[in-house]
Amino acid sequence: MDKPRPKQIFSAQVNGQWVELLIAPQETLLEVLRDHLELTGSKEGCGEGVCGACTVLVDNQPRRACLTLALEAQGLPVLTVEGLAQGGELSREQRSFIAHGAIQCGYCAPGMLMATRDLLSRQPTPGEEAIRRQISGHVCRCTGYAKIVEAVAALGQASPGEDRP
Amino acid sequence: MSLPYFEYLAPQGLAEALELKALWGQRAAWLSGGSDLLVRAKQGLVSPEAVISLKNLSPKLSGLREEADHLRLGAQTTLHQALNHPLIARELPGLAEALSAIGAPTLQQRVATVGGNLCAQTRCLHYNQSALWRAGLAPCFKLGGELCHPGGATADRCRSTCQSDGAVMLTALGASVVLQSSAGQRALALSDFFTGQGERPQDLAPDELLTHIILERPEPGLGTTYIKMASRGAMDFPLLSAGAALRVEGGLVTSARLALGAVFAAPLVLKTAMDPLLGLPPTPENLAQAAAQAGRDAAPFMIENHSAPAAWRAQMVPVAVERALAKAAQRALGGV
Repeated sequence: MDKPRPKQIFSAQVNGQWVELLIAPQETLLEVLRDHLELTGSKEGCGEGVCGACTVLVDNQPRRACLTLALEAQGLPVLTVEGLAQGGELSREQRSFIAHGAIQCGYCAPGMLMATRDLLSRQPTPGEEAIRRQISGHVCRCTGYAKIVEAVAALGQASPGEDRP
Repeated sequence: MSLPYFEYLAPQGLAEALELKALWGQRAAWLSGGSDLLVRAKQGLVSPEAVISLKNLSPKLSGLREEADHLRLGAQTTLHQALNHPLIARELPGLAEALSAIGAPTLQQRVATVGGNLCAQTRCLHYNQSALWRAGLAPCFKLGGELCHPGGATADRCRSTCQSDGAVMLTALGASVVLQSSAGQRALALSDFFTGQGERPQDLAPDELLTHIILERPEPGLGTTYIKMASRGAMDFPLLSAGAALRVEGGLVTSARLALGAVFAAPLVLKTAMDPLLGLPPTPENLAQAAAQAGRDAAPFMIENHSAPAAWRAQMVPVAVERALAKAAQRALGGV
């Protein structure tokens, strides 16, 4: 006989709403978001932490949802790309990405947007170097990154190439 | 990619955590940031029956404390926290370089910890692969088998290497670690903590937890640097790396420590290549001579176990070492 595999209760504040569900202890945060909560904005690119497409904010800090056990986020606020828009209106990061052509196939965008939200929360006017460094853990195969850097730089109103304090 | 089943335990405090680990032993794995463990679990390289999360211990086991004659760094300190500590940023630029070379910023913040980097497993081109990829090969020493694929027919041991940037630099800095179990605690120099055996790279008993890293206080005249050679500027593990800590007093080298990464199962400490520098001024010629000797000393370790040819990596050893020594000397003399 197989050993019993008890499930555990997972409870967290996802995009402002408390959720509570029964999950297997080894389920990743990405699986819980996508498969249980049907929040399919966060993507699984590589599944091993390299591509950054699954990045969400847990307790305001970026985490690879594919390498984070859901239970590690127990009781904490989780923000996904679905939580960026407020009252039916896209967030300023999303608007800037669209305006600058920083979204092509869109697969990396959820992770890039969360990385952007994180950077701007710590450094409101990042220069090009800080932006490139922040997104260095995020792979995009369409844009060549230039449009993404422009979209983020526009949010800080700093011209690319200039690092403001 | 899904993880296989395991139990999830989240003890509230250190004593409870150590008791749990003593109970479960090798059947349980510590879970810190998870960026090493969970990838290996997905690939079937490790199959714990339980993971013991350290998340509730983080507040107590993180941060840098300055004590009378040394620095005490909590193993749960995230790379981001360490990088933003003024003392590390100001006085240990080599450590800052090594920690910022790990992964990328969005991994460094919450996910990756300094202690986790020291406990990361050694790596090899033939080992860090999916279960499907490995299915075509007989299990190697590191997987409990009796052969080493890059080592060839005569290999008698695992030839995986330490590719942890933090481990290499902290070894060059002469750091030690505190290992705690419910039975007590012990301190080990990193040069002893890393066993040099790819099959079991760290001297960490099944009931022990790495709780702190002890660093010497940076002395005046100390210059540190970390040089990493990798395919990309982010995310990649080093194909070769060099951590250097050079002390120059009165124009003469009084201490020279250098460790290489991605060469051996432990950070490879090149003592015989560095010792001739003692008592000499750190001139480009003297440093080049030490670097050339480092290249000769490291050559026998080079085999085809990483994604860059062994011949190229062997050629790069004196290059990386010379760059590291030059930068460390410049910093020792007050430069940046």
